[in-house]
Amino acid sequence: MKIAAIGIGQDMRGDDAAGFEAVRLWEQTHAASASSPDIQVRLITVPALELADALDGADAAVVVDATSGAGEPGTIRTLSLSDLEGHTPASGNPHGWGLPEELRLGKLLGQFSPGLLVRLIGIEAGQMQLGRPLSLAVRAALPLACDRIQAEIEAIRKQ
Amino acid sequence: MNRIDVPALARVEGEGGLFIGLRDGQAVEVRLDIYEPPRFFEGFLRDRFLQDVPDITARICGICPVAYQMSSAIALEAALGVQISPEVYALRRLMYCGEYIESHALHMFMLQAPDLFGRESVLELAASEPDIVRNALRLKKLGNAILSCIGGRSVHPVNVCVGGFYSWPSAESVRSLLPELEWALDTAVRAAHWAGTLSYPQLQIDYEFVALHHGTEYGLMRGEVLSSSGKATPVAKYEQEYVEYQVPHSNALHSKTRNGTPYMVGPLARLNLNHEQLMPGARSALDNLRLNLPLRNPHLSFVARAIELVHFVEEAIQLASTYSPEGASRIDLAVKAGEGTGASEAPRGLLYHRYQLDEAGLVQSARIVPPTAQNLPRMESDLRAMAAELASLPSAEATRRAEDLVRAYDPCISCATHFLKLRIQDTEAE
Repeated sequence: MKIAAIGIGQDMRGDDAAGFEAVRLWEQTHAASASSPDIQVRLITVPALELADALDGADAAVVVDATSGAGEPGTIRTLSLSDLEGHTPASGNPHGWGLPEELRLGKLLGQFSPGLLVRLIGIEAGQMQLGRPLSLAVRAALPLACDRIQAEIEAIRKQ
Repeated sequence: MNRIDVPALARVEGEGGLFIGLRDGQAVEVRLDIYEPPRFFEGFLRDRFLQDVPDITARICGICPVAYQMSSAIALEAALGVQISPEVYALRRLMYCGEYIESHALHMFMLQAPDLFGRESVLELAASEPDIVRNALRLKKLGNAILSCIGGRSVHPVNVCVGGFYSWPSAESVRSLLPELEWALDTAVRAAHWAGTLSYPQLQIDYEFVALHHGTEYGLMRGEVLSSSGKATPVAKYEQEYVEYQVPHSNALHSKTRNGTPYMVGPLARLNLNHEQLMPGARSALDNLRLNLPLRNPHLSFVARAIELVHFVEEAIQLASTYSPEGASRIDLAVKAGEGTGASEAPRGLLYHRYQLDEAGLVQSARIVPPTAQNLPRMESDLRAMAAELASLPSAEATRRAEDLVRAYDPCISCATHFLKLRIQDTEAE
């Protein structure tokens, strides 16, 4: 089984780096699991194109991204693809194209393996200002996010 | 009363609004309200060293950063009086080909094609026409790969500098693009044929077209600013012929000719003025469509982009096949005070830059005229010409027609300073 561990975000925009930082920390704290041959780690800034590549040939994926509107900063939620089905794009222009749209497009185009299992881990962001570091709340949540990543990967491996 | 409200126009880059006031089937007021805040790029370029400029101006746009890098580099090289090598020029053209491929693929298939198929979005189009969207994504990926290969990354590349490139990409990495380019050429030729079979809204406008023109190559980074009126203007005298002005409803400046008339830049202008310089395959694809040039229907910009897609893939194959880096990738610059202008053809049209440098090479003043800002008065004039038709249509259809028109221009409001909300108001009924 091929499992993609994917962080989405930007390093230069405060808590938008949460997905990157969580995956990076997971690679350190769960090094044996992260370096296993069944795992491919990707950090993605532009999901519109890179996500389809990262999911190409994968049987399962754990995708970690910052969320907005899901509680206090640092709140972690685990979602499935069906949780995104009701998502309405915030913007009709290409700047509003994000993870839900890309996953939906990939599904419509048959770009993904049949039966691709995607688990999404969202880390609620506090601020995403240019040039700011992670907020303390998000930084404090990273160990728990790592445990969630590992738990999802172990659950996938058992399937 | 006839009134239409659209919170935001979809499938354009940026955000803004549109107001049309009608009386007796005539437009009494048409405004493209560009309400996004100004971005102040010309302001914060001041006192920056000249070599910072291509990297800063690239941030103006995520889709056409190469255009901003090239226009700024050309202008600054003119200010310093330096001439880049033919090898650098060829590599810049190849990089620009990559930008055209990714930008045209995005606009044609993902932003404008849903209009032509009566779909709301690319997601709806993907459900009914998955091959179109699959090919679009593959083309976009190819364009991005060219930018990554030459520029170091696909968005806001970092390898372009005043005087050339910081380093040559390896010949091997450039040649590795060829198999996918060969696929893209076949795909682009088929797309051009397909574009000729589609139905487009009918609209004929007597435009003044303006584009860079060069006698021996498709106008891109050198030549004169040619108008369909017959006037050819050296880039250094652009501001004498084309004048920017402010309007109360827009944070983007507008442009007009010295005679006070709007003009059109972009793919339709380029194709109409430069079709004789197309690569052979693109020329053949155009001939096969049996169109009468000049094209005067703005919706046929889709066809123009399709022909240009063939051209730029074809040119990319030629440039990648013959790429053989030799010598220094950049000129050692002797910094001095001076002023320079530069223009290149961004995918959306002519992009003009002017810089003034002090003796330390610091920017004292900067002037950037993006293509969408030049096209804004033209879009408003087109909508005015459509007013009687819009007034006769049910509001939902009128909204759609107006949006389709604006999208045909592929406005990049992020560049112009970002864009669309449509309100059509019957002023008589107010």
